Amino acid sequence: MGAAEPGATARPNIPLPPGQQIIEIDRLKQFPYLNKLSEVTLKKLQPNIWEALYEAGQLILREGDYNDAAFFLVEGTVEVRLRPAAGASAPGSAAKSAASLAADRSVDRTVILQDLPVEIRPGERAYIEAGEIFGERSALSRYPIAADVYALTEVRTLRIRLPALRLMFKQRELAEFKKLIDDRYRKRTLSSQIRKVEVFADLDEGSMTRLIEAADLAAYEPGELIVEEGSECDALLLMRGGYVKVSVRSGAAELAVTYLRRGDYAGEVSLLLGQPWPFSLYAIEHVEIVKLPKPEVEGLIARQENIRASFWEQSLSKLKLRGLVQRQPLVTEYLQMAIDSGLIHGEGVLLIDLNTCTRCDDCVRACADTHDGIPRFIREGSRFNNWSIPVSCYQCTDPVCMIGCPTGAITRETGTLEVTIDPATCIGCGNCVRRCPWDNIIEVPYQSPTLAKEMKLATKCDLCVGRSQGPACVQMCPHGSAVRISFKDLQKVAETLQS
Amino acid sequence: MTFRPFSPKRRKWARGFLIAMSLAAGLYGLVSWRWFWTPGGAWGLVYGSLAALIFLKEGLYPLRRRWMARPFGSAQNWLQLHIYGGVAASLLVVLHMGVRWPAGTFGWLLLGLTLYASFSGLMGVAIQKWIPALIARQLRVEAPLQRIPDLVARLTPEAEEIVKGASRYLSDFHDQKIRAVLRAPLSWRTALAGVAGRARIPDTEFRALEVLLSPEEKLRLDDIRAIVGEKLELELQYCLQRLMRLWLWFHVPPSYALLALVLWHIATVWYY
Repeated sequence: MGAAEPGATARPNIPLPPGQQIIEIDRLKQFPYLNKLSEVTLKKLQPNIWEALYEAGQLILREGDYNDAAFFLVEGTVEVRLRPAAGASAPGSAAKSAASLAADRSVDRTVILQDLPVEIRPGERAYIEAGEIFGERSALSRYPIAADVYALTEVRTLRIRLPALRLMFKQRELAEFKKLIDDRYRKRTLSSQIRKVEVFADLDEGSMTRLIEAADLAAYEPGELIVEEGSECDALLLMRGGYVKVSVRSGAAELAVTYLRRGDYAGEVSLLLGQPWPFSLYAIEHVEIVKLPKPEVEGLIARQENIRASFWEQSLSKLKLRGLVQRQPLVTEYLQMAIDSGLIHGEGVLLIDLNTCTRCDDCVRACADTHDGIPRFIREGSRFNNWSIPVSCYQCTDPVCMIGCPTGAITRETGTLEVTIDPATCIGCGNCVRRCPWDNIIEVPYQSPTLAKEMKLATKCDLCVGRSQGPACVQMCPHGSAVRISFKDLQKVAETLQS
Repeated sequence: MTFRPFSPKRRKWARGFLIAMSLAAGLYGLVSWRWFWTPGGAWGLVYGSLAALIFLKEGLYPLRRRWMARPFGSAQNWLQLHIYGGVAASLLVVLHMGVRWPAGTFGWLLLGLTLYASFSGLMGVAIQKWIPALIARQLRVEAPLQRIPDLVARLTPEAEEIVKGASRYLSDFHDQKIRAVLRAPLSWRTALAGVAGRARIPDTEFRALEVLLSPEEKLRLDDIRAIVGEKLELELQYCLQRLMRLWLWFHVPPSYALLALVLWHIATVWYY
């Protein structure tokens, strides 16, 4: 992109929602934090910082939705509503995810919301005033929004999308801004994120406090080397967000052994055995990591038998995979393909064995029969060796398709795999279709009973959620050619794909 | 991947089948040696009835889609039961007859259709193991059958676009040789000839032309060659996929004719 005229408006990379607009450079300079930046930097940020206006009573963020931006509240007041523990009555399919988020709330417990700067009890409301920032944590960590956020008055916000947010973190002039966000993360979120890792779930408060104080927060760009094989291990790395490739050197190549994502950790092998890193770690995409220093972790290992046992189990598992890859290097090509093509984002990816597939299309027919005559995937897709990768939703761990759905038609219940689209509330805006990085969401003509007109319905594989026999495509394949696989377990991948 | 037409997908099922058939044959041997075996005798009727029930179940095979694989759980189970059931039923028919030649035209028709249905079914198993592996191994192009004519039709304008503004050598070659090949309808003969190395445009012709071309035009010729190769692959893919479907015509109608005759046979035996 060449140098633009001063004040020229750059085009955003996705269509702007209604009520939102790109801001001129001169106006951007007037906002807090942004007023410290050079014009060159502001031009880079401009496509991804939008001014968003909301009328009083308008919904800004819906509980359970995914979000891709931090909101800086310029004018007005927003109201945060945390739905009660039982009897959640939100309209549309968002109620499903909202109710499941509310499932474990007790009425009397104050909830610290990780992405909103308030503490609130279920069923109550809290307020955020001008000058505050909210939503940044859900964008960075790809967690669903924890509560509904409405405009109490007329509200003007700066919507800072993820690419701009990440760029701002890198600016020396905005060290204070980064510190604000990091401190908020430490205070509000880090503890619960550490506890989500099973091995640390029952950590006592004293140990947790020490860990949080000692923890270091780091971010990496796509392709960046995080740790090199053979280097000294000085911390346990906890994945906050993004995907990391774990590889071993073999000859001149780096062979993929496995991958890590949010909630996973690395470094336990070295810390237990007192040896250098047996793997290299590379950021596959934007990655955020919590580094728990070696002395703290070694102390925990020494004091807590369950942590030591769990680390041993994980270490053995990873070392076995390392051995497998070194004995059978070919097995790694499937994992590398999955990393390159994005299949690692999914848990139940559909693959078809072309060696046994008779191209009968029974899988597609079964899908259509299960879904009112509309098949949810396209059998024709890309190919790797003898495997076909149909155009079918991967059920991504971080479903970016869920960002920006105006009606909440596309949802995922917390703790489940399937991302579903409710035909009753989908209005055919196409946001999810455009957002899917793999073009796995298809639009089909549909006579909407709700809108009483023909529209383009967004449709996608939902793993036949609710169907006791599981995905119809797999069940109805007469030759067993259709398989659903996760690339997390390389052993399983080797057994299934190399047969 | 080595082609093993009769390598069972489920070895346990194959073992179970062999054991069951061995037992059936063994029981037949014992009864016929110890007493006397007739098709209308007790054991003869048992075997005949079993075979008839299996034939009836075989006839329900198309309903697996409507019933979403109930009651056998998956389409794969349905197919395995269909294959093993068909062979088992044929064997039971032979044993039911007392391993004798049939009496009368109707008997010969029943036996003939029984053996034909089993044989054609097993040929289908072999075809459905051989062709997918062949396509996966030999062809880079993968396309649904219904789309192949459309994809082939796009190759002609694609080639025309490549030779636009090309030298006389290349454009004449395209006009005289390539266009006809790309426009030719999809054909078994062409596909098989291509596989046998008898391509409509031998490689020597491409090479003979290549020496006359500039470096830029050589790249165009490479693209043309790739398009011709793609046509051959699509043609072969089309023919092979159609073969997998064509086989059904040789198996299904005679099988339903068999089922009708079996029902007639049961009715007449019952009546008389």
